[in-house]
Amino acid sequence: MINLKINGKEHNLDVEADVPLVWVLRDYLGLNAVKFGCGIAVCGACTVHVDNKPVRSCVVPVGSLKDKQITTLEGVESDIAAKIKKAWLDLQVPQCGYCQPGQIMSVINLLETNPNPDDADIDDAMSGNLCRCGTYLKIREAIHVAAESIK
Amino acid sequence: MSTETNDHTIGCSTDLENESRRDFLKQSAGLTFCFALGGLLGCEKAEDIEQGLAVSNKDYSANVWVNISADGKIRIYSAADEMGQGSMTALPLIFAEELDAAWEDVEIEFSPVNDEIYGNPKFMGAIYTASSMSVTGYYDKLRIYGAQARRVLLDNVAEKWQVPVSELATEPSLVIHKKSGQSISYGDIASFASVPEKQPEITPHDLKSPSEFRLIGHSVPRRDVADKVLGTSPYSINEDPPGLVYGVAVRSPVMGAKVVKVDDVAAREVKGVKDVFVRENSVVVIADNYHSAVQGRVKLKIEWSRVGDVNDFDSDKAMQEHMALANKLDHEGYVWNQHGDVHSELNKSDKVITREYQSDYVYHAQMEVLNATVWVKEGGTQVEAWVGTQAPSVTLRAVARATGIPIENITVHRSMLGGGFGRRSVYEMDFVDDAAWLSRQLEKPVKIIWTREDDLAAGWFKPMSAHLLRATINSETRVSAWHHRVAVQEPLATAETIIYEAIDRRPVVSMAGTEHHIYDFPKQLAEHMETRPGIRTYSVLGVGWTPNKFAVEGFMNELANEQGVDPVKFRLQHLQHSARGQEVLNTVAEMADWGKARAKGREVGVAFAEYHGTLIAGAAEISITDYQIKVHEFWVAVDPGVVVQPDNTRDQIIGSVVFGLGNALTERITFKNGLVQQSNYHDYVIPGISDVPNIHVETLANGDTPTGVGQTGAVLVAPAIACAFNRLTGKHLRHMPFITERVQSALAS
Repeated sequence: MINLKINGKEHNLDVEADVPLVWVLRDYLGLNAVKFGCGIAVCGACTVHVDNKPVRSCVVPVGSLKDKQITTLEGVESDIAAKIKKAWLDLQVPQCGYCQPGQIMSVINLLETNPNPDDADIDDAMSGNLCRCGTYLKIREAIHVAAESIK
Repeated sequence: MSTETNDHTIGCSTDLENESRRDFLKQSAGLTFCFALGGLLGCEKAEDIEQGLAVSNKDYSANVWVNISADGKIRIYSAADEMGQGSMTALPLIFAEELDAAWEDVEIEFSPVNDEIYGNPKFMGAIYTASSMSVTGYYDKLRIYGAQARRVLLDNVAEKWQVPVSELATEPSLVIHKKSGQSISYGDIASFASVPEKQPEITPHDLKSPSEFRLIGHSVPRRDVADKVLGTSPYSINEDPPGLVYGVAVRSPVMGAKVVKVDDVAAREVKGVKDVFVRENSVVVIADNYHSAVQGRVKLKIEWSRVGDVNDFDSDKAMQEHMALANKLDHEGYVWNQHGDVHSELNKSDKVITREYQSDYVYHAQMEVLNATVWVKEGGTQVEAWVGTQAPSVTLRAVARATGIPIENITVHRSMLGGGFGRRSVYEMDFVDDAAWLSRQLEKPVKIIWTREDDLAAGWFKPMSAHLLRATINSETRVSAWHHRVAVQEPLATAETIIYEAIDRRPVVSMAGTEHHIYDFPKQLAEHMETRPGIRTYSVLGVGWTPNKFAVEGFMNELANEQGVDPVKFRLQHLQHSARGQEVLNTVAEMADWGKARAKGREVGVAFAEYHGTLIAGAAEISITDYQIKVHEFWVAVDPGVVVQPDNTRDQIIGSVVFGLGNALTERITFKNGLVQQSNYHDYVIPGISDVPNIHVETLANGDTPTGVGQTGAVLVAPAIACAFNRLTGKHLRHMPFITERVQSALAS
């Protein structure tokens, strides 16, 4: 049995310690916002927060998460997250949308730690989140819009 | 009563005589319009279609596109699949425009999987979402259907109010009688209206003029976006029917190889692994959770049969052979396009300019790993399949093939696609086949998810190509003869053999864009030198067009250079019969401040293309550091005839430019010993956020009909960069992608 704290709730799960977090979130708990893209922490589609920091859940074994706070897109509740989602909707950022939950999780961390990022800060924070539809310019624009609206 | 010039016409609705139809209408409480083939009015199967029951691919004469219910909701089907390109919104919007529906009343659903009713006229009548063809394929048809539905509403109101229909007009979702000041909502009309047996005739005159458009040409938010922001969008990978088992499938790394031997002992020892199934050309590990299935897959040892020379295939060597074939002028290729006698023009000249261009294999790299969930139930009498597919009727047939269950008993749920780019339309439906077959064996729902590594190992790539270009120039520095020979594997020849035969073996995928309607070359010849290396190749965004336009536009740059003519001016010299082409090119030149000195170490280059009637020009501003090209700015001017969704058009152009950027700079698949050398995003590098330039798009709309947008930006990027590179360094890039070693060797040349 593994005990996980996810989105503020405790879960006791009968799962092997080496199972990557992404599959536990998706297949055991039905938290499907997080996506599987590469399995080697390169594409960022599986980004969630562990103790408020973005991690690639495809390479994090659940056995390593004792006493950690795990947050998925379903569980983000901050004003910052709401503003980001609003900017994402207003600017119509997603195309196929598959990478976007991971993008948004990275953005939440960016704006929580740096409320006024410039383009270089954005490039740094977002370089691990790939988007094959090429929505990067909209992502950048939406980050600026969200940052502005949080002020 | 018939309206369109072809047989595919006409609006009708259910009549109320039939009891079951009455029930249906009661259920849906409204008016369902059917648009029948060949003027047939009956809507016998409307109930089935509406309720999403099993749909035969054969028997349908009736055709449901819209239902207006008494509460005012207007449900419109989208025939196209949604992979981020926006046509799920754009197609119903075209219908809603002519219906004059208030957009907030419109609900969108995917159409049932039925080619005869919902097929794209531009895709041999199949439901097939690809090639930037959705809006262009359905535009006329949906306008006419929408106008017919509106006319039926007007006729019903005219009769009820006893006024001439000519006195009635519509406002969004309202019929208005100005004289009396009365109005009535579409929902209220639906509660009493019937549809006449004789269908209203719609002529082009009855359609709105563009100035009357309320939706077309105005940006409307896409309907799929909200779910995508919340992470709730229904991709097939999310499906979780009760009792689901998880599987990983391994397909042969060499096309056509069969399983000879499998050592699955270690795989079966993995906790959670339930079984290993060996098929003729795949091996599937199933488990009670996905991670176990992957662990089991990693421990498999599979021996595959040899497929002759393909097992020795080396892409570097093959490129040399392709190039040699293109150069072998006594070996005549398939004549793809010909105007005038190019050979005699070239033969009589002592100044034939000749160049070679090359492009490597390219991978789709869609973000959602390939997957399908299939559930054979009720003893095999019923099948449900959840698939993100660009070709749902091909998927339907693939499920039937793998299960042996007739298509009447199969429902394909059209899931959202986490990217398509062509991969999810492959005829073989390799990512569906194993799930369907296995579910038939187990009579349980099976979800197969490929690993990224297996997707690359058994990918269907944009083919490599080698181009020989030859031209002569006349005294006015214009092309007098143009000869383009392409040595390339035609993807249809191996991936879609039936279609390939049906179109008389025309290389429509690999040769696209080598014919010139807009550049007024007086004599031109494009030849296909077919190669058959036995590699899986297929459509990948901009297939054919991207390598071909790279060669064409790269050569145009070199011809301009040879003549000492500015590359924009040189192209304008060949656009004398195309005012639209001139405008597009002049617009991009203006946007990019063409002719203005750039900052030190930077230079700008240009490219132009015609793509299925869409005219597009691009300019790139680049610099070079450590043999790496950085694109700082990219400008695009595009004229797709008619713009249905301006904001989305811009987004699609930008997206395709980013795709083209990866194709131009980093993306390449290579083979050694018949095996793909790349395995994941770390060694198949696609653009990230810091790679993307500022991209500026200007949209012109100088045509009568939309000609497509989705992929068009991709074709401009490599040649615009190559042009800029030449202006910056005096050297030429002739082999895409422009990886570091190629930049280095170009600079050293």
